[in-house]
Amino acid sequence: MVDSSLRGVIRLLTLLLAGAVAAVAWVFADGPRVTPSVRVDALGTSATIGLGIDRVSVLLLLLVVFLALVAAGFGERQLDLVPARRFAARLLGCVAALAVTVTAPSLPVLAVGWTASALAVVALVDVAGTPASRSAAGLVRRRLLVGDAFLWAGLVAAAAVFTDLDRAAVGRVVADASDGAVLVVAALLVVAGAARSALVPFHRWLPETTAAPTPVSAQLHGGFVNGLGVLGVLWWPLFAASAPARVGLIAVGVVTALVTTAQMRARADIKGRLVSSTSAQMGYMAIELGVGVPGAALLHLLGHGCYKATLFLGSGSAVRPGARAHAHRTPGPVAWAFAALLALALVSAAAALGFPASGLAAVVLLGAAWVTVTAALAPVLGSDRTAGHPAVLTVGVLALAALALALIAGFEDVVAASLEPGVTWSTGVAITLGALIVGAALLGVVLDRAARRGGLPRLHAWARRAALPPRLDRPGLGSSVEPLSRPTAPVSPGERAETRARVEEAARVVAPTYPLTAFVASNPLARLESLPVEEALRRVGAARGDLDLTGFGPLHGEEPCTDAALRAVLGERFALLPVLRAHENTDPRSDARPEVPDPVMVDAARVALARVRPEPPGVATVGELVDRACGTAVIDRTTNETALWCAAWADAEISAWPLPAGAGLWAAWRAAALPGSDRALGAPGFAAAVAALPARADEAVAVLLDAMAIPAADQVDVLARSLGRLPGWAAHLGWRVAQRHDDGAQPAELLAVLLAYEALLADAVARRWLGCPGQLPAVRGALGARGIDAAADARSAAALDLAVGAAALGIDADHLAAGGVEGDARIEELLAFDAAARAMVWARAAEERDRTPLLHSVVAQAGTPTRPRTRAEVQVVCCIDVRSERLRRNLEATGGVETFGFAGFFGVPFHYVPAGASDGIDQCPVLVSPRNTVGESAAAGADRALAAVLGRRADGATIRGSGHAVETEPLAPFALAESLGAFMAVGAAARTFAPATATALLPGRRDAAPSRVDLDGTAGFTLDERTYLAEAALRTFGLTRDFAPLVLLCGHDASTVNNPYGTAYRCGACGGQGGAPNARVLAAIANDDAVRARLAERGIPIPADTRFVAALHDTTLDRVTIIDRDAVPDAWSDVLATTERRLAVATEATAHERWIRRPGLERVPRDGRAALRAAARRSADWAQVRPEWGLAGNLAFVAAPRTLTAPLDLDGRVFLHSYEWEHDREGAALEVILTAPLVVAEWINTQYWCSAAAPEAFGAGDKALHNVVGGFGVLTGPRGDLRVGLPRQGVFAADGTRVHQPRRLLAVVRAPRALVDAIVQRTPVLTQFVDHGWLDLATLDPETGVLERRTTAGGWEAWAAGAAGGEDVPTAPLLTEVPT
Amino acid sequence: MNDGLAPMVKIEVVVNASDTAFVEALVRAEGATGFTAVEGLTGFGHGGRHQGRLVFNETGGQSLVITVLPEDRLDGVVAGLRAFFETHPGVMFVSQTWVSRPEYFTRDANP
Repeated sequence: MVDSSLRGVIRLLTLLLAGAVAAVAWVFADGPRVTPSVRVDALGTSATIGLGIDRVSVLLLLLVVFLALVAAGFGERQLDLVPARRFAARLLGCVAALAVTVTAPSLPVLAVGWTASALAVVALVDVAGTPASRSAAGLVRRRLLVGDAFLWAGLVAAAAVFTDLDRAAVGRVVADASDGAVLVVAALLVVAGAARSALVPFHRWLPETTAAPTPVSAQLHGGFVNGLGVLGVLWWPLFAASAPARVGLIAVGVVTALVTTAQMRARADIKGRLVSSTSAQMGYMAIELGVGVPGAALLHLLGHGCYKATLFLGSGSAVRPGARAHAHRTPGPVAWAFAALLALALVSAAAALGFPASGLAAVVLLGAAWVTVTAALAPVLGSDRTAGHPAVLTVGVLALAALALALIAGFEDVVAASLEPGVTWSTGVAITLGALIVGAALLGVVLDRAARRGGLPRLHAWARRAALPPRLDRPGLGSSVEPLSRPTAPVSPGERAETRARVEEAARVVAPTYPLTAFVASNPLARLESLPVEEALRRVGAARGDLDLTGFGPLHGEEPCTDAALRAVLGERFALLPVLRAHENTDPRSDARPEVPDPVMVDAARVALARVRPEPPGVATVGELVDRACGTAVIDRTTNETALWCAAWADAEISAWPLPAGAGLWAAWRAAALPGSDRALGAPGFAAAVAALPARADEAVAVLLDAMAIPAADQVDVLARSLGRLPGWAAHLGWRVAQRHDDGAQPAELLAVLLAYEALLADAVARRWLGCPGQLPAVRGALGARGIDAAADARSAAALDLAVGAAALGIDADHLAAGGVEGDARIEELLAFDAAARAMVWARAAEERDRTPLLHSVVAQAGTPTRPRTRAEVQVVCCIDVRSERLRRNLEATGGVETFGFAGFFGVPFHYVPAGASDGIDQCPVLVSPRNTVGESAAAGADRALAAVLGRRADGATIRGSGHAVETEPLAPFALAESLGAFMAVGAAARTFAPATATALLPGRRDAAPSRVDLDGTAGFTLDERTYLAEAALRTFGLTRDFAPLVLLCGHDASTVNNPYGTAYRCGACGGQGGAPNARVLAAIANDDAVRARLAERGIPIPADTRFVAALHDTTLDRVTIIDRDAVPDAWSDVLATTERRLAVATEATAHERWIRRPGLERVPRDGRAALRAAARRSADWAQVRPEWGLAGNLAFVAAPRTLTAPLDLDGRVFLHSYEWEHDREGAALEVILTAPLVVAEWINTQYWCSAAAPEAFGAGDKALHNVVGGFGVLTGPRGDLRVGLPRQGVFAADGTRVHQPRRLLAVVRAPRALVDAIVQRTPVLTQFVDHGWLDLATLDPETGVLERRTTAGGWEAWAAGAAGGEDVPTAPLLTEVPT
Repeated sequence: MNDGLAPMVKIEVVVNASDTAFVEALVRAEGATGFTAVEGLTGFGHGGRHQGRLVFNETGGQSLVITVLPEDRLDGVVAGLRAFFETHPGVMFVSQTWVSRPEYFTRDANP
């Protein structure tokens, strides 16, 4: 199942690594070697072909092989959607080419290796095979080959002037040659190296490489981009001899550091930031080479390679969920001053103790160390003294810094001999250069500070624009933008309010999506739930244009739907069955279309269409029409730009330069994006035209729609199409409006930006090339005059569709073309049976097939009593999450356990502030706004212990703040790479090859604090509230009598690392958090004597010997932990111990079962213990893209006593909510269940449904290509729309099969039909769901055992076995009888 | 009735809870200096009967949004709501009312 090619590559690379290490030892002991080689004399010069190893080259070889090994190890787990063989081959090719480069004994060999590695890297960038990666690879290839041309030119020049091209001889031949000749060769090599190392002006190719998967980036940034350094240190005498070349290096390095650091500060996405930082680091390395300290440059290269590779591989952790534990306090000037003094003291001590190498090396390295240590110390000194140990940390930082300096000194010592000759500068030149470098550094700091405060808008805008593709898709206007021709009369309130309403209607095609910091599943079609599903899909399809609906039916390799099943679904329309079959796409991976019908037929269909539906389908926008007519890319360019500015506005985490605070998107865009936009867009006058637009977004939209002369009837469609170009960002903004009440994120703001770009740029293009203004009728007319039919594509598609259908029904071409009333009625019928309608038929047929066994079994169990006959020893209340089903079944199998299902927030919504946190988080479904706040305080007698834990956490936060400061202060990271690189290398290797051990040792894992939840705060729960909530909870899931001695409230959580989607595995009912706080709160309430007294009065007597205890089920590890165990009184220790034993047995069985039942999770462990170990490994593995399957496979929701479903093996696919109608005759509890947990389950189900059926449109794509943006979402690659929905790895297995089959939710309720019907009728949310086909509802009558299903027409029909088309009931893994 | 009371226009809007955000944003954008929202309404209308407050679902019911504004700020709100009701369920009632502190309602809503 797992492709063994990568395993093989790993073994090979490990061998190579061992060989490299041996070579290092050998060379350091004995001296340089040249392996068997051949000497070639030609063209007046000579060269050695072979391998040359000395200290420097062997260290570089070690780096290359090591990083490739780590990348291969990482890729083995992460790259399941990329053919492993392809990645393995390309990676090996790259390693081989790089090895040749670094061990080249002569220039010709170097040149060969150099170009070979460039080609290998291009192949690696394209390894994913997507159109985006292909175009990125093309750009990279072009840029790299330009650089390579300089290298080959340098080779030719060297062959002309030098008599010997060997490395060993370079000192001698350089001394013999003239200064001018040496300069020419050196300069050519410098340019080649600059191109390879992404220095200005060659720096634009590197950001494009983020279109490749993460391990490719790690390999690239670690082993390839340092080409300049490799050239510089291996061929050092050549550069040492040419001072002008070195001055050039310094100049390029300084400019690069300034430019790319600015670009880095302005990037909102993590990979973009890392890429710009690499360029800056390469610039710094160029400065080191230019100044004449090649040892430092070598150290920098080695350290930076490891450092950057580790950061890339770990970039998934840029999403930080949960409450902020301790805000960073930004250090004040006093802290900075002290830090600078302490750092200076350390550095002076190091200098006095004899920091080695020439004065130059010492100056550069010690200067950089001083800056870095200052940046690291300042947050420590400025931190909060009341928690944490700043003194200890200060000493620690200084000790680390001293150690690092010692290591650097040692390294310099060791390599100094290989990097002769030294360099001397005359005093005047030295001072000038020094002033230049220091001055540039200070300039950088000053500019950065100014930009951080919101100044320097031009610089800011220019830096942001660096994230756009390098001039590939400029609109190419060649004309100027005029302000809109409409006289600027103010927009009347009526007009703008109408526009608001239209915007609101258009925005329904996009539903809010939650940020990854607290990812709650949501239906991507949520705002269209008042429409039938089919209609909703049509609307979204019209807006998006990229919606492929074939995934709603069975894909190639999945169980096909039988004719009988389809006939049952089609009902009265069964005559259309041949049409359905004719459109069937059996293999989505091939481009094969259904058999193309006869062209005669298609023509006839065109004629028929023109007659029956003369209006062209859909409305194209002005920009789209202009692009089609003129071949420009206005829409693409403006979409990219808008996405860029959305990211800039929404980002609060990743970029250091903020947009104007408090402004809405439209206002912020106008302030930040316009400076310099004329030039960037190639559209003079753009900024002025935008400035003339109204300041209010709704007015601007009205003005722009009017300027484009969009008729009122079409405005909603045009607005929807515009939003459909950036559905992800629109969804995020929708969340900000709905959950954060942020008016600046209203859809009108986004539309104003999109329409401003489109209207103004399209107008300019239209005037220039079409000779008409950019208005809809005019442009249509112009297209018509040129014979271009804007709707041609849509009409062709519709005609093809119709032709296929007509052919399937046996209508011949003449009849089709001639029509006539009866004929036209058939055509209308065919047109109504469009892609959306057909998709729903497929979906329904598959659903019926999969639901039938469940319904059978439920009906068969109808007569069981509602509580078990024997009293249980322990009762366990779990979340309704489908993953609990396995645990509950295996727990019950151990005997003596009764389980219940209830919403994971346990009926207590609150705002939770953990101990030591600076703000809190809502622990409840997003349907509810909590009104109470719960804190966390020390358990009895554990004040000191808690304080100690909080102190450690504060230390962790301070260290993180320190690390953050060093990474983000403009000057500090340069020295950091050198000192920390080695440590990070060890860390990266450990995390890749021994993940469980490494993660256990990582600081910052959640420390268990001996604490208790504090409900008594000012906004806490009063006694009345506690009683109310406890009663509501107990009555809702039906535990009001026969309490066991121990009641375990089991919330759930998931632990993953380096996973932006980590919170998606957590409890949706708790707002995307873990359920532990809620379990603890309900336990505390239910154990409270005052509450129990009141509950007894209200008919729920809880005996004194019953104890409620909170527990947490980690679904990734399949481990259940008792929380606050020490607080449980001794009387219950026995039963608690027994329960823990039972849990241990059950979790083993659950873990094992998970592996067996779900494919694609590596080879099946042989027993439960092995399964638990494997689960722990997956959870701790930073490269793992499938730590668990989450809720994949979810199929149904059952509200019934557990006894109904206990005998069934539901394979972890059903939401199980306990409900006992016999004690809820009025239906109060049932109403709660149907209007809250069922709704959340429906959201989860539709999210999975859409992500599995249309993964490109509604899903988030391949995790390996993800790039965290803003700390709350992901992009695919370097730019573009925010991704929404679930990633492919959450729904598809590695071999491309769907682990989650798209099926809508079936809700089965054991209650009288009349009661359920009444609740549905009076709750519009539910009526909508069932009437429009979003979920299906069935009731099982408790007294008669009759199952009835609600139809979309609002009625009910009895369900009988065999109703689904009379076919055999297939034995699905769902629902075999559990052996008793 | 007008002993020192100033005339104003009152608008009451009944909409689905999920649409309250739009109504609130609209009235504020058009110059209302405030509004009051009442949630969890029970009633009966074109869409059938609807239940009042749901225990754990604040987005599923219906709400009443009440706002008072001077007559010169009325047009925008009415036009917007009219357009909104073309595609969404709900009702609005516009009536005359009198307030004791007119300056509350006439101050600049969007400074």
